[in-house]
Amino acid sequence: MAGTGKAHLRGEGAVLTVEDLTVEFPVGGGRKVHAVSGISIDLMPGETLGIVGESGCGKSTTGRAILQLPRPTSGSVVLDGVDLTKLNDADMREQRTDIQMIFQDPISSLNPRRRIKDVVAEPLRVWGPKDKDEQYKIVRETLEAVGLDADLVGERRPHEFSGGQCQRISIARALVLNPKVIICDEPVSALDVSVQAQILNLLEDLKKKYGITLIFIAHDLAVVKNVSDRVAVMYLGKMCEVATSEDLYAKPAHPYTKLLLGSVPVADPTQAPDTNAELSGDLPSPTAPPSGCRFRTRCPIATDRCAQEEPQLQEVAVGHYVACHYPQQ
Amino acid sequence: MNTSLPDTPLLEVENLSTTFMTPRGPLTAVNGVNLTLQKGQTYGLVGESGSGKTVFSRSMLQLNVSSNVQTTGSVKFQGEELLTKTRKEMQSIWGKEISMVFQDPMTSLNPVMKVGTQVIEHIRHHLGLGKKEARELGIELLRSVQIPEPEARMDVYPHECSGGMRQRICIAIALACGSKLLIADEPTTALDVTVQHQILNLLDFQRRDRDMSMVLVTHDLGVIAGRADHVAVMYAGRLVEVADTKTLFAAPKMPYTEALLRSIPRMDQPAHTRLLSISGRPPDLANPPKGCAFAPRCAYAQEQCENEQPPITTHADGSQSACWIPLGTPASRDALQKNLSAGRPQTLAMHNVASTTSEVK
Repeated sequence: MAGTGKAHLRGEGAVLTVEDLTVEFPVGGGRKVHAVSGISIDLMPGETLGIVGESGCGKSTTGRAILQLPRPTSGSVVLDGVDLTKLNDADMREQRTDIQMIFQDPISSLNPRRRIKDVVAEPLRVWGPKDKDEQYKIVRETLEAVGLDADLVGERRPHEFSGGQCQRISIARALVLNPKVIICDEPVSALDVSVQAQILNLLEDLKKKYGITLIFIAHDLAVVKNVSDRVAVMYLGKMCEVATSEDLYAKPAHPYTKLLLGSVPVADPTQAPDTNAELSGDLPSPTAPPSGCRFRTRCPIATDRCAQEEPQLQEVAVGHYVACHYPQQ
Repeated sequence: MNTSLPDTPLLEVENLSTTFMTPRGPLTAVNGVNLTLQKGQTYGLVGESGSGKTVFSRSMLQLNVSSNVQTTGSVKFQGEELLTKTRKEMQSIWGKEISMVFQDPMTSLNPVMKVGTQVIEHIRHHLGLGKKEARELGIELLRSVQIPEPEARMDVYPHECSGGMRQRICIAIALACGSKLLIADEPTTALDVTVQHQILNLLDFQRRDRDMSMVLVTHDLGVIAGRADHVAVMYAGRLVEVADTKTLFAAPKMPYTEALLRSIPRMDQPAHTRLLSISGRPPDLANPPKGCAFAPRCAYAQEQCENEQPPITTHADGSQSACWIPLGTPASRDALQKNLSAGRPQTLAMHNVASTTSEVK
């Protein structure tokens, strides 16, 4: 994997187009962490793109770099015709109303000292209607939309709520400005399965109701399949494979995707775990990523070619793109 | 240890309860748990956060030592009562007869001691070996948990190892003295899915190889399905269902188990499959409901469920459950119909009749 390329971009009609996004962090001694290296993605209106990968693969950094938090080292992020990387800070703040984020830890992402109605009203104070009553009317509607009783929760503070409820509040806050795109960074990883199902269903309902486009970043492959139309697999800052969720899970073509899928425990006792599909070795250091294909050091089918030549994303089936010299069938 | 009769269970837990004295009053985190583990078995203990699964596994080993904890009941290991043992007596059991692997591999290793020192210390304490022999055995153990270059790894600090490597070291320490029982408390929750797969394979292999029994505590039904022969489901401090794994997944008897199984997203379902959600959240254990603790969230609950605690009963297929209206009976179908026509919100949420987004208070 570890490939670059833009063959999978669909061009016309995309809400968000990210091209060659690169994020590097200096770590002293002239070395750099190559967190994200040349990621390209696009999103059609109303679509959900899932981004999966293990910890350290750069999926969260990609999400944040799209929001220009921090600004990417290079590459372009075009939202509705505007390149966010070219905007100055003041213009970027204004554009950010169209693109919101939901974080992993629902409790620490809310200010513990503020009342819920003020937490949710904050974005409106800056960018919404000037009239306070108007603001609270929108807050009330949004809280109801995420399944919370505005009268009961509005005056309370975050510590009085469970993780699932706090995540609902974070979703309300992201929705309140009516954004075009919401980036969800591991929104359900901190929740129990019963609450996780509530939040996943809620996101699906809201998508239908408000027509929002989602980027759903998660490490749980089953969760990603459940919410996504299209799924991108990342490894060490590069893209391995992009396909519709049905295709990706049914016919993974990249060796890494195959191993990843083989590792997921299946809640079915009649299916014995596959003890052969084991990923060997450790993740290479992102300060000195391997040459060529970044997955080659752990890939069961790697050859010399993989060390010399970086694979580009190529179409192996309709809408199914893989960055591998030897895609599996 | 005493030589025990061949038919004595390895571990026999009877009516184990653990109560914490909190400023809000007594909080019973584990409530009357019974469990019997035979030699060679792997028991999966599942439950959501706060269900008492960790407190239960720590209570068995008297690891909840603190002035505000009260543990009652009986825990017999190879026929010997553990709860009446002193701390000193327990020290010869911890890590030697019964070992434990914890969730967070970073905090369960000492950050300022070299890996080798920690492994050797444990071996010397329990087996009384000399420095040199202990080191050799330590290297052998690290090799057996598939750590590459074990000699070199003995001289590094925990922070120099990855999460998966640290968990392997913890497992090596747990295996060191030939324990008969391994309690693994969420051993892979902090790890990536590929590393989780490796660690679970390793635990499985070592368990068979060393003829150990294992209690695998987890919140992940997927992990349980592939690795345990028996499953115990915990909810609000009680065991609500105990069955062999195949029976539990194919025909759960307790509505909570059914709801758990149906609320997890599965890779074999098409995308955008609507998940069944359990409305509400677990009860406050300092102020538990009068009847069945799951009744306020249950799709099948009737008046009796709200008022009386169901006892644990054994079914024809050998499984046990604590439920007044076990699933698969005509009574449970009637209860469901009755709740559906009455418009009970919990039932509607389970069956996707109405919008599942509203949270039941």
